Amino acid sequence: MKSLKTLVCATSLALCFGAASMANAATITPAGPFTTSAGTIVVTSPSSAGAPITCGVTFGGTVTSGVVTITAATLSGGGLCGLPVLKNIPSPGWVLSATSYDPVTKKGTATVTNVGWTVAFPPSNCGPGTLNLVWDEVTQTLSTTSSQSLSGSCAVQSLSVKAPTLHMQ
Amino acid sequence: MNNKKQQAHAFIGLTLLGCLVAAGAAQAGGFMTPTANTAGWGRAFGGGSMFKDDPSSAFNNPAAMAFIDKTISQFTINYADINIKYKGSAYDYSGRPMSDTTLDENFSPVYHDRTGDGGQGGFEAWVPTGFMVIPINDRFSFGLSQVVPMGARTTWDPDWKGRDFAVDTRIETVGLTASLSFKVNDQFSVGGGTILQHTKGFVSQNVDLYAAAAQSPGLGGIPFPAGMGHALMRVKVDNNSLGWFAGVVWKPTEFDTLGLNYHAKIKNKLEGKYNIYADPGSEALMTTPVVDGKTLVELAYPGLHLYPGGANATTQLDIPANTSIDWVHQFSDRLSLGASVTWTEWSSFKDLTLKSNGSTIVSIPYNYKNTWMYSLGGDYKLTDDLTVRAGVAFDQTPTRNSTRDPRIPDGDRTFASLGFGYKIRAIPGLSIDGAYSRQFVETVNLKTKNVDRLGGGSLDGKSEAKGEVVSMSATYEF
Repeated sequence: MKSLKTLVCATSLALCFGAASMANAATITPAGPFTTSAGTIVVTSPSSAGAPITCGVTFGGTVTSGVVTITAATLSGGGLCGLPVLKNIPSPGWVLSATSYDPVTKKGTATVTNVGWTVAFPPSNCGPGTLNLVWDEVTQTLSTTSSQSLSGSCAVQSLSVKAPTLHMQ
Repeated sequence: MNNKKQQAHAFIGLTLLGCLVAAGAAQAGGFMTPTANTAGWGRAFGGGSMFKDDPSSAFNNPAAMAFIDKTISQFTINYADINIKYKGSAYDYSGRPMSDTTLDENFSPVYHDRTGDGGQGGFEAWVPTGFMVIPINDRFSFGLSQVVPMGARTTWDPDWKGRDFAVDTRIETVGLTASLSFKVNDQFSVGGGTILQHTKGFVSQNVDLYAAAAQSPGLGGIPFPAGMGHALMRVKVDNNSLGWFAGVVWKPTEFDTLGLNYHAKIKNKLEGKYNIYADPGSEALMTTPVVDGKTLVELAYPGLHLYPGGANATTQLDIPANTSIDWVHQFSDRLSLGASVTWTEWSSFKDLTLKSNGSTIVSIPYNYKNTWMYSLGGDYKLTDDLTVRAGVAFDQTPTRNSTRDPRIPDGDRTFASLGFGYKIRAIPGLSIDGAYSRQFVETVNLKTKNVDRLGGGSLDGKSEAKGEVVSMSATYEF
């Protein structure tokens, strides 16, 4: 009897935790292709002798099963912004996955993996690595909150891009 | 004087002139140099060439040759010792002290501030000049001279804090002149001449490529760290050019001689080559195509091509026009005093622009201002053979506070001179002169900002300078 009670309690806890976990699970919608509007990215790398380079950036790709695969990215701004060749674009792509979403504050978190780039001269070989991002459902903006390092003595100091067709839930 | 004798005299004189193979600079305002002989140095140029039988009139005022009644040949050697020091700070374009910058393992800049003040930026030089006046007949006289009308030199340590402004600067000119005078009457004469001059220029300095890129139209806004690596640009150019000069002399009384001379501006386009001695990283910035066949330098400054291995170079360095009024008054058989005022049209020197294959590599503004020089000096005959001299002069600098840089850190200067002349009885016709001149140069601010293409750094300091000239000459009257 004691063991039965224990089983019931354990099952209940498991159910409770399961329910709680399901409440925090986040996805990105709607499924299908998307394109962001212009944003900015600030990076450092050996190519810039450690100086931050600010470039315009737009992303495009597809949402499948709540996960975004970025298969196109364009850097703008002239000068050094024309030098990087992005790793894993278009294939297999940078993968953006929502990790949490709070419907009350309408803010969420996400990761994007496979991020990296190379510059032939002055040479840089950055990443691939993972960036941690935050999502603001009100402004539909994906951004970083702090500088994030990548291998090869590189960093994404900041990223902010608006995705007017995407939602997180 | 028969023809053969005259030719012999000319030969001896020209041989003396031919001995003059080296040239340096004995600095005056800007990059001009005084063209006086030893007697002129002893009087601090007061009275110019209006003193009796002065062969330097062959260049300074050819009209005065008309009153010389015998052939005179003179060789002068000037030794100049100019001392220049910089005291102050130097900052990169971002406002931090100039540094020798490296990158750590994370490619973050590590700054090692440069502390060198450049050492002693002045120079020592031997400056030869020669003059010869040959009376042709009662009316005409012919003159020859070899002069150094332009010269300046500064040499700073290669790794000093101001290396983005200047390391070496050498401008040297040797001019050969021929002139003719015509005596209108015993009170009035006119004269004129031409000068063929050879100018050599050498300048070197570091170009901070990353700092230049940070302020460029193509890559502007990227805060590259300044002071990384080195790219020492060296420019060597020369040119031959022609000019003219003229003068009039008037003797209103038996004891007064007045002279007016004009030396016309000489256009001087120097041609040669430049190269850039750079570390491998900096060299690659100039030579490695990155986008559409363009190097990073070309991306930063569209149209700018830098060739570290060398390319042709041209620059315009005109010699400004100048005019002088000289007056000599003979107070007695023993005492003569002279005064001079010289105006130099330095405003014609607006910038130092280096071009290669028709495109501008860099243009440094100077915007010099016109200057006046005032001098007063005289002779006193102690004996029939020994004359002593003294003089003072004040020479304005053409440089401006806003553009003065370590290339020519020039200030107003005062000359104080002493000299002597001695006739050597043992050799009839031969005399020697000696002079010592001290230059007291105003301490001037060097507070200038470099052009973007050279890194955009700034200086905040002072230049302290002083100079000495010792002059000796031998004169032979045929």
